[in-house]
Formats: sequence, C-alpha cells, structure tokens
Amino acid sequence: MTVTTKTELTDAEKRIDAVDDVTYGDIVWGQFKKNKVAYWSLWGVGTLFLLAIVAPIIASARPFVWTVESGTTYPWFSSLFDRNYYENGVDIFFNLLLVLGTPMFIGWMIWKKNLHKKIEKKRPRRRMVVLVATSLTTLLFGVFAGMLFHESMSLFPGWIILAGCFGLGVKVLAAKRQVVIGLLAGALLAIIFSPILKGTLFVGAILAIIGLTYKSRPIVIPVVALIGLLLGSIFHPVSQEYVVYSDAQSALEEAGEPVESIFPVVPYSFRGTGFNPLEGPTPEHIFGIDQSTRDVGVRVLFGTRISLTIGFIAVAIYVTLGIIIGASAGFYGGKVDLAVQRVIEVVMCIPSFFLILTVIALVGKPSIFMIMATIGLVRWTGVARLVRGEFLRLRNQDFVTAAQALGFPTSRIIFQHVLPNALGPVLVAAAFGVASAILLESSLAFLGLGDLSAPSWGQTLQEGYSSGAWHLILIPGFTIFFTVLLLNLVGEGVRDAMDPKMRK
Amino acid sequence: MGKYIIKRILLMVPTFFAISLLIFVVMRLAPGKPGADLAAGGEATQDAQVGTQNEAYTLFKQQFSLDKPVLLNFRFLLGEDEVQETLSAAIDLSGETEPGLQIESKDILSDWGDFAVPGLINVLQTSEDPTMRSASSKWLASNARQRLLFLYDRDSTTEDRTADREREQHNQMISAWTFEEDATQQSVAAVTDSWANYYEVNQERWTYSTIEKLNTLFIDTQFSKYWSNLLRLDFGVSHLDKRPVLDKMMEKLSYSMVLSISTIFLIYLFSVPLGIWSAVNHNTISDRVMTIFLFILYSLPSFWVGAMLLNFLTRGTPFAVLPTSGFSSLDTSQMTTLAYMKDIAWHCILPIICMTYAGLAALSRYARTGLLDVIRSDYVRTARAKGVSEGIVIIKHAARNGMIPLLTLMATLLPALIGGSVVIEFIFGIPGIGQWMFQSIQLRDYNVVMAVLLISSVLTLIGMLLADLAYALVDPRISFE
Repeated sequence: MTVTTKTELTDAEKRIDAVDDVTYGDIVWGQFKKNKVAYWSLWGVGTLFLLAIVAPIIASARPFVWTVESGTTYPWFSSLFDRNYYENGVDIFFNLLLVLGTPMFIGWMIWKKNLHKKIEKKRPRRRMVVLVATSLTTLLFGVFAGMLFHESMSLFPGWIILAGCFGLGVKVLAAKRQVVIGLLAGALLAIIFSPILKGTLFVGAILAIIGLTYKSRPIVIPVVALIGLLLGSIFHPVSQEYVVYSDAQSALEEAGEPVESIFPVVPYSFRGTGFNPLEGPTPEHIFGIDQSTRDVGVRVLFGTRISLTIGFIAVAIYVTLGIIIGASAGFYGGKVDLAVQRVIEVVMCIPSFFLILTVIALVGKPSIFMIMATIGLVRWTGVARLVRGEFLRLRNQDFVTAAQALGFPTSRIIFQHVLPNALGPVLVAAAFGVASAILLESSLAFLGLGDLSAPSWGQTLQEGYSSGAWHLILIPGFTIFFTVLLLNLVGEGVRDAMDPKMRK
Repeated sequence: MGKYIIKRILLMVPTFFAISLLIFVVMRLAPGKPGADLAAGGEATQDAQVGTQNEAYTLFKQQFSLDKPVLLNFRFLLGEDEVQETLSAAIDLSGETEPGLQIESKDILSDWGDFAVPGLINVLQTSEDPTMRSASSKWLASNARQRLLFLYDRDSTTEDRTADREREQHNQMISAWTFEEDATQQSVAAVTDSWANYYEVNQERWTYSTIEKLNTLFIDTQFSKYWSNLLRLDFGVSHLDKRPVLDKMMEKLSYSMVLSISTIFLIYLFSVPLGIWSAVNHNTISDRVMTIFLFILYSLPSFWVGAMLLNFLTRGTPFAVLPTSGFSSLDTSQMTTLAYMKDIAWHCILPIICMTYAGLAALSRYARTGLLDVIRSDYVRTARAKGVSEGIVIIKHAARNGMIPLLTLMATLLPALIGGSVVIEFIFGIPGIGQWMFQSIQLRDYNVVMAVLLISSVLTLIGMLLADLAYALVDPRISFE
C-alpha cells in the first residue's frame, strides 16, 4: 500500500528476504507441529479462550430479544457492559473482546484473504511478528487500564485508554492513515459507554462515515459493525436495574400478557440464585447447583475467563519484570549483576506460596487484579535468572560486538539483537508458568482467599469440599485438571521443540 | 572446600537480614492490623467526643512494639503543628472529619506516646478552643505515662520493683491533671500550671542529643526490636495464646515433618526405579504409556485429589474406610505404642498420598532424562564393550551418574513440601505448620507468620547450600576452589 511495494526489490533485499524466510521461530514452530499432542493441546487452549470470550452468548440470564406489549428491547446487548450485571472487570474486558474482537477478526480474515498479498509482499513474517506483538501489547494495556479503572469501567478515562489501545491495534491492522479512523472508532466507544457524553455520538458517527467513504480499507467492516452496535445501544441504553427476566416472563405469562423472548442456550447467569441448593445434575442444570443455589455449569464456564486471565496476565507481568531485570543484570554485568543476584536470592529463598498467601490474606478482600499482581511480583526470579544466564552467554558474541561497533544504542542492542536470541528458555518457563499460576489461583480460592465476586473454579471446589456434594468436587476439579494438563502439554511441546537434541 | 563453606555461610547472614527486612516491610505495610477487635471494643465504651485510646489496646500495642514505626523512627522531629492537626482530627473539631480518619488520628496520637508531649503542652497553653485544651489535657495524661518495665518480669529485683512503683505513682499523679470542656476557669488554670511545671522539671526527657536521635531513628523501631529479639532466638509470643512461637513451632513442625519426611522417602523409593525402568525401555510402548501416565499424574491438582479422596473414602459417600481428619485419634492415652503408630499411619495415609504423587511424577521424569543423558555416553559404551552385563551397566555405571540431578533436588524438596502443605493440611485437618500458618495469617498473628516465613527461608537457604555441596561431593569435576 505504500511506495516500497511498488518498487523493485534490490538484490541485497532479496538476499535478506531469503534468509528471513526460515527463521529460528519457523524451525521451532515446525518442530512443535510435529508433536501432535502438543499441537492439539494448543488448539485446546485456543478453544478454551474462545469459550471464555463467547461465554455470554452461551449462557446469560438476559434475553437477546425481549418483546412485550410496550415494545421490543435487547437486554443481552446492554448487559455486556453493565457493571450491575457483570460485576467483575475481567468479564467486562472479555465482553469487550467479544464486541471488538468479532468484527476485527472478520476484518482480518478478509484482509488476509484479499489484501494480504497486495499489501504485504515484503517481509510478511516480520509484519506478523509486529502484529502479534502489538495485539498482545494492546491486550496488556487494556488489562492495565481495566486494573486502573476496574471500579469505574463505565467512566470516561478508562474508555479513553482502551480507545487508544484499540487505535494502536487498528494501526497495525491497516495503514498509518487509518489510525485516525481507529482512534475515531475508539473515541466513539468512549462516547457511547460514557453516559455523560452520549449526546455527541451522532457527530462521531457522521465523522466516521466521512472517514470511511474517503478511503475504503479492511477496517471498514469492524467500524461499520461498531457503529451498528453503538447505534443499537443508543436506543437501548445500559439499564441500571437488575431484572430477572425469566421470572418476569413467567409472571407476565401468568397475567395473560404475550411475551416473546429469545434467551441464550443456557438462560442462567453465573450469579443468579434461586435453585435447589446442592442439587445434582438434572436436564435443566446438567452440571447441578451449588451451595449458594447457583448453576454450576455457568459458573465453571465463566470461571474459564477468570482462570485464563489470571494465568496469562500474571505470567505476562512476571515475564516482563524478569526480562527487564535479568537482561540488565546479564548485559551490564559487574555491580548491577551482583546486586540483582542478591535480590533474586533473597526473593527466591522465601517460599513463594507462603509469601503470596500472606500478602493476599493480609489484604483481606483481594480482587482478581490484586492476585495477578501478587503472583507477578513474587515469581519473577526464575525468568530473571534464565534471561541473565542467556545474556551472559550472548553478550560477548560477535553479533553483539558488531552491533556495538555500528554504534547502535544499548537499548536497541538489548531488545532487538540479544533478547530475541535469549527468549527460548523464557517461552518454556512461561508456558509452564501459566499452568502453575492457574493452579495457584485455584488453591487460593479453595482456601477461601479468592475474589468473591468472581466465579473461580477453586471456589466451587471449596463448596464441594465443605458440603460433600460429589458434582461440586468432580466438575470444577476436572476442569482445573484438564486446563492445567493442556497447558503443561503445550509447555512440554515447546520445550521439546526448542531442544536441538530432540530434532530429527 | 572448607573455605567455600565458611564463605557461603557468612554470605547467608546479609541475605537472611535482607529476607527478614523484606518480609517485615511486606507484612507491616499490608492493610489491617492485629488486635483490631481490642481497638473496636474500646471505641464503643469511649466518650465519643473526646476520648483517648482504650488502655487494653494501647498496652497490647506496646507489648508487641506495634506502636513504633516500622523501619525508621523520625518522631523526635515531631512538630507542634502536626500534633495540633492530628489532635483536632482525633476529636473531630471541625465536625466534618471522616470517622476513619478520626480513628486513625487517635491511633497515631497514642502511638506517638512520649514524643507528642511537647506538642500537646503547646496546645494546652496556647489554644483558644476549650475542647482542644480539654482533649490535650486528657491525651497528655495518657501520653506522658511512663511504662512499667518489670510488670511481667518474674526475675525482677527489689530495686526494679521500687522503680516501677515510682513510675506507677508518677502515672497516677498525672492522670489526675485533666479537665472537661466546661470546667471552671480555676481548675483549668490549675491543671495547665501543673503541666507547665511538670514540663519544665522534666525538660530533659524531651531534649534529644544527637546520639539519642540516632538511637531513636534506628533502634526505637519495630524492625530493630524484632531483630534484637531474633538474635536471642526469641521469635516472640503468639498474640493468641501468649505462648512462645518457637515452642509452638517445634510442636507443629513435628506433625509436618512426619508427613514431609515420609513423603520424600516414598518419592525417592518409587521415582528412582520408575525412572530407570522408563529409561531402559526408552521409546517402547510401555515407556510411552508410563510417561503419559506420569504426566497426567503431574497435572492433577493435589487439592482436587485430596478433596476427592476425602469425600469418597472417608465420609461414607460411598466408602468410609479411613478417618476423616486429624493427625491421630482424639484419645490416644489408652493406646500402646504400636497401636498409636498404627493410628497415626492410618490418619496420614491420604495426606501422604496427596503430597507424594505429584513429586513422584516430576522426579521420575528427572530420573528418566538424567539416565538417558548418560546412557549414551562413551564410558557406558565402553562398559558394554568390555562385556559387563546390561543390568550392572545400568545400575553401577549409568545410574550413579544419572541420578545426580535427583540428589540435588532433595535439598530443595523439603522447604517446598513444607510450603506446599498448606492446602493438604487444610483439607485433612493436620495441625501442622501449613495450617497453623494459614490460621495465623487470618488472625494477623504477626509473630507466628514472621517466624514461619523466616524459618522456611532459612531452610531454603540451607537446602541450596547443601545442594551445591552435594554436587561437588558426587561429581569430582565440580570444584569451588
């Protein structure tokens, strides 16, 4: 789409491309794919993510369509960002992924199919790496924004930050010019979900349409979808009262009023109460009911969100910390290294489960974000040691000396030259780390130290332990086991793929 | 080697200091405080408008040094304005102070103790507001008190007791020097005079020399009090039953040790042969099945297995073959030693299974890879070539080297088991370290939590040293010289 794609590639560039064609990542990925069990486990983890994202489509107590005499409303859509319905910031975040992700995914698929070759003749892989990296950063920033504003997700600042991140992601997806449209779409989001500024939505929508007709790009689809969504929610603003629609329906029908409604497949919310306590599986509730009279199946489904978030974000936090600390220790050596090593030794000596338990229990009522941050802040030492070791090994090699001779700044040498070569062991540690973080959160919840507003698997298991109901022990326990097993298998696959001895 | 060991042990001292500092800061900076029930109980009985802290809570805080700053004590710099501000917040002078801030201000005032006296005297003499003056007289009466040093000391001498009696008289004297807001001019003037007089006479109590300031800055803090006790191996007493932490620790440790030592023993008993067997049958069907089985075992969450075993084997749904909880039966006095041992074993079977299987899976994988690494090496081929039988090659030549990683793991296994036993002890009601730790955290029994964290850290430190030494001992290629 830019000038470079139209010009001929020079010989030197072609050679670079040829070398680029088979990267270390390709070799590892090829090895990984050979390991069928690990490969399918990765798909399994992906499926879990998908389940987590589409959970409200499967199970929600709000009907998609609700038609009574006074008119038709769409309570499911307005519930997605309703703090009154989804109490937890994690849920709001996943709903955001559902709303933004679906159009973006469709847009990406089309872009990949039709425009991929036109735009991306040169170095497609590098582009992909940037894409993935930026998407991950966007995700992380989104979560941090959620952390900062999780008490007030409906407030303006949180949405502005999310909007910025969205724009960033869009920037990678499309051309630079399109960042304007991305930001516009983000701003629209901010406007629609911030009650005060809802009135300015129309201006934004008109601007967006002008921007779209000016240059049509793949981003059209998500933006159009968004505008549709936004327009939809303008006529059905986020409701603030907690209505139990199934009760309302039966009441209305008894009164003889006609009600037409379309509910999700499982018409229960994860915190909707009122069923027979500790009832075993029945056709209506195939996974039974817990002690607090809630549907276990829905709780376990929404628990996927909690567990995956904890696992991946906690690991992201400590991998980031570990890389920064370990890289500086390994690269600079000397006194920095000595100091970092002392700190690592100190933190490593304290049994991490005890430390995490202490912090979480002393805080009292921990939120999901608190638990993630604590795990992240306690567990960085392993990664730091790995990265330090790799850096010590790499820093005297010729390519580093060459980069130094070329006069590159230190930050560039660290992050662009040495770090990519040191990431292998970190990736393995991270893959296993996700599983152990999930286990850690579950055991904290099992001990009664989890976030009470979140439907954690460990919490349901705890109810099973104290009440002795078999389905409350088997179902959440097996889910934890299955998730951990999948993640461990992926970790194992990554480790084998990285190991040159295993290559045939 | 000896030099190396000494160097390592000496290096442990600063590390241990840093560990204790880190734990201390983490714990004391966390919200919530011990004895909150005492504080709340005091609040209810107090005069809502002007009241000092309740005495039981203040005493409790003094006893555990909780009234002192955590790391550095800057209270000798306490300004008069600061005291005045805090006092006005504590008595809600403006009428708009938040209740939380008001309680906090009272806390701060009582924590300041002696150091707030000059500021309070200043308020008493200069403030225009009768409420402020009355409040400051009351706070003075409690803050200027001298602590009885030998109240709980059984070995105190006669002189000590005399000194204490004098302090008691002093406290009684000043406790009378208060007045209410609506007191007559005369009594107010009398009290103010006596305080002014008192301050003049005891001036040297509130003039600090540089050494005194340094002393206060570093020594008069929670951390240094804790450390000075630690040097005497005194971990303090538990807030709950006032028993020394170290005594209780030994008692709890005996339960946990029975579990973890038998766990380690079982892990090694099974994982080494399993690992060797897998490595010998490398890449056969049985090896793959075993690997998958061990991997599944490794991924099973122990608290799930524990809850299942407990529910299905002990609660009568459907079986009730094993005891539900505890380390032994309630009444063991009638039992013979043999029956007692059997009773304990009967109780510990399930917890030990839960603690063993994951470690077993992990370690036999280590054993397998360890043996596979050496089985391809030259000296093993040489041994085979000279006609040694396969069994001897594996057991005598290969396994000895292949098991080195396992040996070093042993040192780190013990602290890991103690740390990881919280959930298992919670499930099976074993009164060991893990459960004690968990309960103490919830009750904010700082001394216990500190002690458990410190001791398990020391165990880890020692474990790491032992692992390094074991490496050097079994592998002559490694030397620390």
